[in-house]
Amino acid sequence: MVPPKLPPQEAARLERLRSYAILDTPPEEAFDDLVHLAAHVAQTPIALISLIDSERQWFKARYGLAAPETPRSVSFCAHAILQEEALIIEDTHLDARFVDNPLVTANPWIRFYAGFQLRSPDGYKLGTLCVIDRQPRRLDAASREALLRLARQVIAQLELRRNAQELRDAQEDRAAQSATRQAVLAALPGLFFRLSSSGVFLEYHGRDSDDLLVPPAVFLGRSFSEILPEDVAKRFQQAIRQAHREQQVQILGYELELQGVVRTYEARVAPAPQGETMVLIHDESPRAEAEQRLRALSELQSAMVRIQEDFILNDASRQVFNRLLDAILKQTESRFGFLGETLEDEAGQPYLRTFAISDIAWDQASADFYREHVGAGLEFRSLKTLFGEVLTTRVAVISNDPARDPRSRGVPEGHPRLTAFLGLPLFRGKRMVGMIGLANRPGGYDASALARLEPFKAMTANLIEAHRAVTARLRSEQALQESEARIRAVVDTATDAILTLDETGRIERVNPATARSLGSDASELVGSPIGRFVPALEGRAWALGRVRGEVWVRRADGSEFPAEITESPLGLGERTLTTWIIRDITERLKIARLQSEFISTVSHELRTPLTSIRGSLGLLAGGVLGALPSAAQEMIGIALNNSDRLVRLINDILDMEKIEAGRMDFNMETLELEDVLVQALEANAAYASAHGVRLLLETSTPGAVWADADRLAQVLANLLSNAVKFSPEGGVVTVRLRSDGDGLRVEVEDQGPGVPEEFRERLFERFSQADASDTRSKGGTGLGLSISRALVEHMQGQIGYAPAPGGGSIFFFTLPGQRPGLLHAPIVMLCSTSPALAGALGEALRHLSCQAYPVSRTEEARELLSARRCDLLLLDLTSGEACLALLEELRRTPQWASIPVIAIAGQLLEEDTHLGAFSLVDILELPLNEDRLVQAVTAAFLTSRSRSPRVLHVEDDLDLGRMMRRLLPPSWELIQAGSLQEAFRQMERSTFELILLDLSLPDGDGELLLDRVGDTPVVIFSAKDASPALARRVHAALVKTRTSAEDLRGLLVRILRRSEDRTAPL
Amino acid sequence: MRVLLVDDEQDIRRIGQLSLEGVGGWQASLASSGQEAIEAARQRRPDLILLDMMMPGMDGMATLARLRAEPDLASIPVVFVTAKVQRAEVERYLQAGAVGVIRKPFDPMNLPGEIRTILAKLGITA
Repeated sequence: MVPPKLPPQEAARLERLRSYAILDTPPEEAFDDLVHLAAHVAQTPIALISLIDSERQWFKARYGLAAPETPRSVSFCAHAILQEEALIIEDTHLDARFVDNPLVTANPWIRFYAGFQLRSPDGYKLGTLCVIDRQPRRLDAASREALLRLARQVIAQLELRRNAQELRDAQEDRAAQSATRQAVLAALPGLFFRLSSSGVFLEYHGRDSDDLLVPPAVFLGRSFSEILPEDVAKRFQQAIRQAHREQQVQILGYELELQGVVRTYEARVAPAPQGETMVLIHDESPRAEAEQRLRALSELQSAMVRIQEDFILNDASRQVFNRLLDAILKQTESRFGFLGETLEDEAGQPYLRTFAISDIAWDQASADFYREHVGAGLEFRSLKTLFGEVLTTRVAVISNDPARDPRSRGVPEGHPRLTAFLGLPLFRGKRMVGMIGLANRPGGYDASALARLEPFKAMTANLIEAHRAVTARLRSEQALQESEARIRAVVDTATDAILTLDETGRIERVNPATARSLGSDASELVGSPIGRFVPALEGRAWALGRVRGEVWVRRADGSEFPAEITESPLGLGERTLTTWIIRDITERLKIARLQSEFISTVSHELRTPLTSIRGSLGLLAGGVLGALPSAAQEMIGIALNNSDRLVRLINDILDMEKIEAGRMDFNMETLELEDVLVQALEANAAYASAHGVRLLLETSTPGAVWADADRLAQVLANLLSNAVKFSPEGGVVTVRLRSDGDGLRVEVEDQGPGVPEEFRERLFERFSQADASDTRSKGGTGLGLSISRALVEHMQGQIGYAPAPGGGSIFFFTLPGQRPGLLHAPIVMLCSTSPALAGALGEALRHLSCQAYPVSRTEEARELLSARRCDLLLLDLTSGEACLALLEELRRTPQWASIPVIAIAGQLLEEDTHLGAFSLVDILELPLNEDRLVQAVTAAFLTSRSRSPRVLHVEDDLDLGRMMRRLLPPSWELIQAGSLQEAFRQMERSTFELILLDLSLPDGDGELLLDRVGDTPVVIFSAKDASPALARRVHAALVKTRTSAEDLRGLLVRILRRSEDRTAPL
Repeated sequence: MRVLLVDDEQDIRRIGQLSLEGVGGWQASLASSGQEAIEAARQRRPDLILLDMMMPGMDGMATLARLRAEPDLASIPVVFVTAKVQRAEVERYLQAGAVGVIRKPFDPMNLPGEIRTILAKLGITA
């Protein structure tokens, strides 16, 4: 234990302490209230007012502690008075000064202590107001501030107490001296009267006859009852009688109004011989005033204490200001007044809003107005007034004749007459925050009135500021509470389960829907690791991004349901929590399945009768059943054509339906485009020749594309049949293949009439045909081009129209191409003896646009590795020792050493750590989690990069930005730019591997960015279609509503893989 | 060539028969259900079975499975003739062992041609 040192000037400090005559006095309510308040504010069991005497600390007030004093040597407060700042010890057990203090190791078992110094006005620290707890704790800033104020109040009370004491002393002195005084009364200078036994003024003398109400000539010879007011005269009568009866001097105090001012007099009535009476009148006003002043000061002090208490106890309402105004009115003897804050309007003109104002209503209308508005604060904006003068000049204004004051424009009719006005601006530093306005003090205002206001100035200004701060805080707290309430309402009523997970993946909070969908009480869920409910996470360390998209979720009873999980990190101070939204998609999957079944069933149900119709007509027309008359032959032909059209229409509608439902699947592969074109021409040759049209193929650049062969054939069939239909008989339809940036472009040109200018815009919309009659004459469905566009765009291409130079039409489409040696579908070899695993892996890899080569024996793998390139090897280590041997061999052989390998292990065991030596991209455990596989494969193609890819996403829709963050592999760095300017800044700052560009940006068209991107691949992802000219300038142009998230991700992954190929060929 | 045509729709059986016999010049026999088809196959040992998918009772896939389960019938090539030709469905037929799929509505004048193309891929000349 460290005993407290003595503060400097200890002798003077003790003398100051004793001057308050407080030590060893009985408890007093004022101080008891303050410690009570302190304990309440700090929420501690103990609060004390401790005064540090020479050898002890003595408690003037105690809350929660019995001992009246303790030795100074163990006193905490004796330490506190050695420093300027409050002494706060959050845990005495951690403080060497106090850990073995007897007040710590025994009753009262102090663990927490906070002492706020009691500073006398001349700066001596007399002791503290302290709060004590038996458990460690902290003190928040608000409590600290409140305790500091209370400590000041203790001092204010001490001061007040001393003033009161002085007053009492003075009174006692006076009583002691009264006998002496009586003896010398007659000799005292003053107003002296001699009255006859009948009360007639016989004689007078005085120093200053001005003090007399009437000239001596008027009252001499007349009775005092004629001169004095009735009540005073009556009291004189009594005093005179009593004086004579008791033969003693009687003292009579009375008041008279003299020139509008009430003055206090003391009359000493002495019996004189022959029934005469001598009266000595003393003007007591100065002393009465001083006493009054002291009383007022005491009232002021207690008012201030009350007001500050109100404020500390959070009753920062108008009540505080009303009380303050009352105190001020009393202090200044004013009839009316107001307190208010000064504000500025939009034009910078100051105006006033009152917090408190006397009710000066003079009629019903003004009373109503007052009642209605006083609560919210009245606003006064007219500056051509006396208070306006204060606001504009920022100095105190006194006017004792307002009616004639040029600064005033008078008052409203009916307003009580202003006889005097005082306006005082209030400042905090140099800032004017408010003003006090007072009116109608009898006798008017002067400098002394200003002096009386002095104690209120700082306090009122502080209260106004504090009120403003509290109001602002309340307002923002309320806004926060409202928004929280709104969010909570949404979360509570959401049908999706919404959970917060802590850093370790344990459930921290859940909404009611979580309990419902997981079939468990919220109380049981909280604290459980999320892995318990997500089989895909079982047995794996928790990390952000482990689970995404569609997964199975397990209920408490073990049953499972398909769910879609949306995950988002939640920064909370230093913690990073995770929010999960689990949406049960059982219904959605069911609907999707029903939809698919419906399409399939409708297609069957419609096609079955058509099969009969079409078949019968076909047989008739084909002459299988014998020759028909030519008119019948013609009619059969018509029926046959139309049934064919109906079949096409059904097929197209079903295709459209599938595309829109996102159920059209694409088997993307590398295709030699020229081969596809040759086949398409062959397939449509018969149709062309039936129309007398020739098909011609011109190719200058052989090349491969990344596409689905069947869908591509469908597009080509559509474009070719259109071209043939609109060609004149004997015309030629030319199909051209040319290179187009990174991809290839196919053009189909006919010699038909071309598409009218005004129709070109709607060319690719559904059921749009230039001429309604075309539908019938050309036998189209009106869906062909629309379907073609959807198909081409799904294959990351563009479709468009251009007029042919000769007047015909050119329909063209582009597809992402690949130049030999640079672009290829990644070749992935799967080495596993399990056909089931190979099948599952192959399926997954195909979805990732990889070419999968399954092998079941390691010799086969070696053969294949020698024969062709391999971009990735998936090695099933459960297939036996041979696989491990292959891995070892792979890493020893220079040309194979850099092939990325993903290993598959049954169950990852301790001893498997030796796998680390083979620099595997990843090790996947069985059972296989497809999401994990996707991540591992994606990562494999990116591992050779020196850094993770950086993608600039130029997009002003923040939601889409967040969606993109979730969509892209977690290892990618995604930088968002919400405007063109921001995008330019980002591009100056660093380089990007890919730019994803929205066209409609707040500060201009995204197209403007293209001039500055250089070689960086750009993908337009916008709500509107890119013009063909624009589409040619970028890598791909996708339309938001027509592109699925998976397609977009696939495209971006491919682009980045490709740009990586250029820099670091595998 | 002897072809067994299985379809629950009488109209389609008739049209098919006319096409196979009149255009293809083959010998057609008919069955209206999977059960009948198995019986007919056992009795007649056709060179080819054209099988509808959607039939009441035993559907095309079940019929194919039953055919594949009987050693004597397992090697008869089966071609589905069906309106249910979504890509996934077609893949399922082929995986189950069908040698080809002909889409309904078919063109009776071209049905034998389509069959020949499928069989040619298997090295069978019809």
